Amino acid sequence: MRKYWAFCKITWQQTIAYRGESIVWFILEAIPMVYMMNLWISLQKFGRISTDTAGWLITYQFLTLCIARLTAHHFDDWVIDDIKDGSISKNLLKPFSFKGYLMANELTWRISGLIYLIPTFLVLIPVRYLLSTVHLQFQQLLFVIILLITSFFQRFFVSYMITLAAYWFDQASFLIHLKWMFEGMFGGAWLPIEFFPMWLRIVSSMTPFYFWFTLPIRGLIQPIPISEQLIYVSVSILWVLLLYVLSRFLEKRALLKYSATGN
Amino acid sequence: MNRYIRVLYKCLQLSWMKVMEYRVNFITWTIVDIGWILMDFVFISALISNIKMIGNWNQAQVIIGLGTFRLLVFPVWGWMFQSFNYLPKSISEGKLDMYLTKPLDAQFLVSFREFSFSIFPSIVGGLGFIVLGISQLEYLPNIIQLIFFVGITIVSIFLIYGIYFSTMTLVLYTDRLNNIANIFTSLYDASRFPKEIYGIFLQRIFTSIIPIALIVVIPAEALFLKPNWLIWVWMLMLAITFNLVGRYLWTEGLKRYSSASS
Repeated sequence: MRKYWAFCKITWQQTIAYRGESIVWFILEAIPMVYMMNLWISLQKFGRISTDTAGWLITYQFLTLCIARLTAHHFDDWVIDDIKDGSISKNLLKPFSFKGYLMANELTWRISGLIYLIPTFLVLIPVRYLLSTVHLQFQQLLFVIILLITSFFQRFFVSYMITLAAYWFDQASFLIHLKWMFEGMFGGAWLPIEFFPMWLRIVSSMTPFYFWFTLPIRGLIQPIPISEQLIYVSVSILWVLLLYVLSRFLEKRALLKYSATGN
Repeated sequence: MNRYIRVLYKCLQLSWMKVMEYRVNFITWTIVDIGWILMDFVFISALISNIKMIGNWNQAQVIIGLGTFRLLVFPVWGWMFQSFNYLPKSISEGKLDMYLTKPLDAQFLVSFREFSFSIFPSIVGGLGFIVLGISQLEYLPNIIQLIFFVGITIVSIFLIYGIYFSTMTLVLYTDRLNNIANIFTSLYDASRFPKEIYGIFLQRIFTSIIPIALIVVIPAEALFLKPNWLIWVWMLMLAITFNLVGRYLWTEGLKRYSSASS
């Protein structure tokens, strides 16, 4: 465990050393929120949606951003590059789990993002919308926290499997785009799932993407019966297990296939 | 000048050779581009079917806006992003010398380094959306509107280059800023909505200091509104200003650059 703690500390130092990049990430995530928030406010001003709906949509946009900050992973791109040019060897040969290293790395970035950035976002959005929409009860908050933890792992294993694809073919990066498309459409990262047709909502509820944005946000802004909560948590844990087993299976085969020279 | 044209032609040739060498790569990224065109359409359709109008645009006008947005994806992602994406790493690793020591202007070399042809479906998709939007409007733009559209699109590309390059020059003033190339592309996503969605303060900012509310909206509106030559002049002035600012930041920034034994 000490090794992974050391990785966390190193990553923490990096987040402080490269503050410029952290600011850029902040701007990148703030831009969609700013224009979508303005869109909802303009619709409210023109009388096309009610104040309640505008408040709900703005809160949705803000929570999407917070969840993305907490559970998204960004290692797929550089790991794919490392696999392609063979520099992954240096990580595979060392006496630690590469998956554990990535996890420690990502967790630290998420925490740093939370500390630096979320308070800043609170300045950007009208807090009155948040207060009127989010209803937090302890039990429901616990439900959302469990969902966030499980979705962190689900997203980790999905990203990890995407990187594993690079052991078989060079164009694995396209899978990252596919992931973005799916989480936007089925996960509710772009718009609330209610904006999409019924068939898409049904398909979405059968995928892990549903647990990434739609369900945690629903848990924060509307009451969900305890029986339903238990079902959702069980299904979410099942998705984590399924994705873990699948990633283990692919990892073993990928490492057998791997060869590198001169690294 | 001839030398620059020849080098530009060579860069295009090299990019095309790359495409032909790695065909599977080209096909894969073409499919990804088609995927994004579909996703844009799904997003806008889901949005417009629920809210009917965006700003003062109706459904048909929003689709024309989307078409113009996709058309301009070609210069943004197919040219500028491909070339600029290398810049931060070249600077932080001290590899910019490769460009600085060549007998050509370094800004030209970093700006036209690479092109991506897999963005080609965006042109087809963009034109398709424009035709679809116009057919829904049941109105045909006249020849003056079409000429205005082409003219203002060219000015818009010039303006995009000025803004994008100005943001990229920031890498010369910091230690490491490897994700800076994504700032403009993220701003570009915001440009497909009419400026009316913003409050007065943000409207002023997005039409002057960071003129993203002009780069897609004005060319799109040229197809369904009367040509506004004043806005054309305003955009041209902005484009010239941003290009001059970019040039100044670049030349001043280069004075701070020191190599790292590349």
